[in-house]
Amino acid sequence: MQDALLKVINLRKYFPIRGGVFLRTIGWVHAVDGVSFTVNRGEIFGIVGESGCGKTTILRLLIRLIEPTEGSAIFQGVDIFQMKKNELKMLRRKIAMIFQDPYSSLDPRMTAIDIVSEPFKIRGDMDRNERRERAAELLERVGISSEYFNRYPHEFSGGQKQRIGIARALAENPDLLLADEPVSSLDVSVRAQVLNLLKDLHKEFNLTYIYVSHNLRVIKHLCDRTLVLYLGKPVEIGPTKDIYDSPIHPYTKALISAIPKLDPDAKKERIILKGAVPTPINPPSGCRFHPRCPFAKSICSSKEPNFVEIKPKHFVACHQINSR
Amino acid sequence: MGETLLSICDLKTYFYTLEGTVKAVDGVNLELAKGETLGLGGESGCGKSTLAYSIMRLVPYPGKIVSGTILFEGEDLLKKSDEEMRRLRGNKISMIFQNPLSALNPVFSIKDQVGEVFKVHNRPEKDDLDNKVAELLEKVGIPDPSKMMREYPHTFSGGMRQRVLIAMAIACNPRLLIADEPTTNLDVTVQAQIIELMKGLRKEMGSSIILITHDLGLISELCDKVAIMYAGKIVEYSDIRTIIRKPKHPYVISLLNSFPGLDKKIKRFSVIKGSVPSLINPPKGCRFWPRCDFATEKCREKEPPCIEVEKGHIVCCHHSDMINAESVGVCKTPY
Repeated sequence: MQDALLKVINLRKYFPIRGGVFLRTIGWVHAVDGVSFTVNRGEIFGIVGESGCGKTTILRLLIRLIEPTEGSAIFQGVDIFQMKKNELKMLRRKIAMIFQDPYSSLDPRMTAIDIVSEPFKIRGDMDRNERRERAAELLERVGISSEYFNRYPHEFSGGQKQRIGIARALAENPDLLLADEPVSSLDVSVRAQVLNLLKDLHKEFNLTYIYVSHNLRVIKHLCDRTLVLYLGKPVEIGPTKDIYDSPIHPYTKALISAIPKLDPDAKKERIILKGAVPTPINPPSGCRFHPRCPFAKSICSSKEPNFVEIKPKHFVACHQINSR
Repeated sequence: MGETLLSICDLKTYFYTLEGTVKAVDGVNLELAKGETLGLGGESGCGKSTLAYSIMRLVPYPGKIVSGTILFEGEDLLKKSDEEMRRLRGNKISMIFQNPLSALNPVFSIKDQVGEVFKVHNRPEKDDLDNKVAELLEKVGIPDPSKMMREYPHTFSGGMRQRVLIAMAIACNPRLLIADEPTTNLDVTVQAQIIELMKGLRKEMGSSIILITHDLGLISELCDKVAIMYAGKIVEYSDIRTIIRKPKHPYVISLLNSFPGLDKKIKRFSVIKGSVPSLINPPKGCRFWPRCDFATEKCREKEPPCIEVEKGHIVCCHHSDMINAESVGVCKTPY
């Protein structure tokens, strides 16, 4: 199990902000700013954080939809960011992605079966019948029955669209599946169906997932290990159980205490943070969380905290770990 | 609880589209007492927002309130003239809209937009207006209100915009406040701030609140009573504890189950088979039967009656005498 499939080292992505008459770069959005993590083969790795913390950017970098500013990502011994164009084609067979919005990630002019057989077409070693046969198998597996194969995306519900998106991602039998909030736009009852499907496929196809979400409930039940991201920087990483049962970083604590509880009599010790997430254009100095942190001391605003392993495999970046 | 503030009787709101008549709200009965907070839950498309818009008499075209009565402080809102409704809206009944980005006008300053509520309803002196707006913004937790109120909506974050909307809604101390998914577009930590703010305001103002949301956790945090809607109808109504601990309607039970708790890791997410039916051609009989594990011949043919199984606990199901959380074998763990 402890076989590293993907190793991300010091990943950074700054987006330029252009302005003025000559559209010179007048600033940088520090979207992802020094993220390192390892994903082991066969695990479901969760990345959680609020909007704008860089979760989606990380995924987009990993399949080279955008180019990184700095850093490396070693996937099966090769650095993704050094790959040439023809190698990228191979990479995208091994790493597939399920997108957030099933409404806009399917081509409205293609039928369900065409969408799922397109990856085979790109590979180009199958004839039409073979392609359709394989695609039909996949669609059936994700729960789309054959009478729907020739329908267009607009004829499907949100949950069904997401199933088609999943079938397409599985087409090339990838090693790593990147899931970008695949259920956030679905209703509760349908959401559970899709999540169960993802769980089943994980076993059946021997997959490894990186699952990105802001929904802490889903992460809790789906992921083996979780990375908590704040303003482009990881603040805590560890086994999901440890993160939820004994969060250490004040941000993680606030995040978990903020989930509304279903039991009206449950004890609610909610930590209310001040203000909102600051802009990643000029992120705060030192620890990025210090302006909102109830425990901040002077060192927090001047020095960036390093990761410390407090329990086996549970890392936290905070200056005040020992003082509390 | 004391007097009834709002009482809705057999309300039907239909949308006449080209594809057919969408029965978005189809025979809803509901009562709300003074000072009470009611959570209206259900999945998207079940008619919760349409119900809210019907109370406000703001149902958009091609929708129409077909029949029913909405008694507010003893008077039927559906019989009021447009002018009378205008005087009520924002004054005695007000609403917090779902999307704080689109509910504010980008070309007017915050002061103009919040001040407009006062201008329309109690016409204060000009100097007084600024103070009133600042006071209100301070109440909802906007820092440095006298400076911030001169800004425009785009300079505000999502959470701040939501606070401005809340300020506008509570400006005239409404008797009834309708909040339509007030935290859906916000981040968790900001959502927590807004929940705390609403809790504080509820205590302070004593208004009745209808909170519309699909997040049962939010309902449980804020509400006294809950009504769960499915396909245009209310299927179960009771106080919050009863519904969480002893739900009776199969839909409500499965809905609660698909809401994973945080204590234990679950192996599988529990699922309601199928998906929400179309409201143009809803299933005959009980609307939930195609997805229900307990459906019998009766459910397919006859619409279930709404039975008061205990005092204040109403369930609309043919089998409410035999179905409960225990017989389904779930819902045992405290969430």
